[in-house]
Amino acid sequence: MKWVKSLLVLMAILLVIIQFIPVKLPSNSTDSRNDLISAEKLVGEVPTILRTSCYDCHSNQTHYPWYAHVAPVSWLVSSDVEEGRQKLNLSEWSQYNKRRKISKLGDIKEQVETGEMPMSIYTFIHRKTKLTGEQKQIIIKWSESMANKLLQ
Amino acid sequence: MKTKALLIVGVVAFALLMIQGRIVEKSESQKTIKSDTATINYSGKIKVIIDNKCYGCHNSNTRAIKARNKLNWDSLALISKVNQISKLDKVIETLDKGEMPPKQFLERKPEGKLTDDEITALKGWAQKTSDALMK
Repeated sequence: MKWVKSLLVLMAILLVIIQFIPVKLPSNSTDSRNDLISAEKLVGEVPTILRTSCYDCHSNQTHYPWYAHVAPVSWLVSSDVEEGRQKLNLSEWSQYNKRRKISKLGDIKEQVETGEMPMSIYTFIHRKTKLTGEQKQIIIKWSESMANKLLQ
Repeated sequence: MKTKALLIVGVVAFALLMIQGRIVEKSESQKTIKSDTATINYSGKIKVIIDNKCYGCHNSNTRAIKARNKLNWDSLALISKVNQISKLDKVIETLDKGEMPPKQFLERKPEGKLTDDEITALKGWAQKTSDALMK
């Protein structure tokens, strides 16, 4: 059992050391001028679902829990949020042109339909972000109708 | 025993965090809504670019399933208008980011690289075509 002890000690030391590797969590902004929910004046369940299940990665309003600042979790959170914002940033919605809006709405629908988003690692840790069947339908219907509205 | 069990739990939890399984091959998820489709035309220079540099992977019979699911030139005329616009937007976005053809592919086949002129032409076509769809 001695090796177990030394392994644990080693891991603990490693955990301390990796805290010194600099990592920058993507910064937040309260600027909501270009935000989807305010720009499109969304009301009801859609904004609630978006805020709960999407905004942590797909907006500039990420809620970082304390452990998001602790490596190695911070590395994952940092790269996921960065990638999420790069692919779709709902805080910059108004800056997308019409074509891109339609395209992103199509992505939202597809990702929710196939269950790829929200990511399972995320919903596993943040239970309340998991979408129910009903919530999925609400998002799918909304994205479809908004894309069609943009086309008219 | 307790330490060992704890250790195993720790390692498993760590592994879970690391393996964010994202390499999921999707099955074809394109919806065909024939009622509001539009024809998408490309000919001449554009067709040559697409045939030579894109079509090899982005077609119905390809073995590159991921490529086909993301964009299939064979079914582009069959999908809904909204999806057509989305696909054309993806073409533009991908070209802007310089993501296509993929780096790994180009290592094996450097002649597959898009020239700046070809990128400009393809983007221009995608913009014009999607603008027409949105009118």
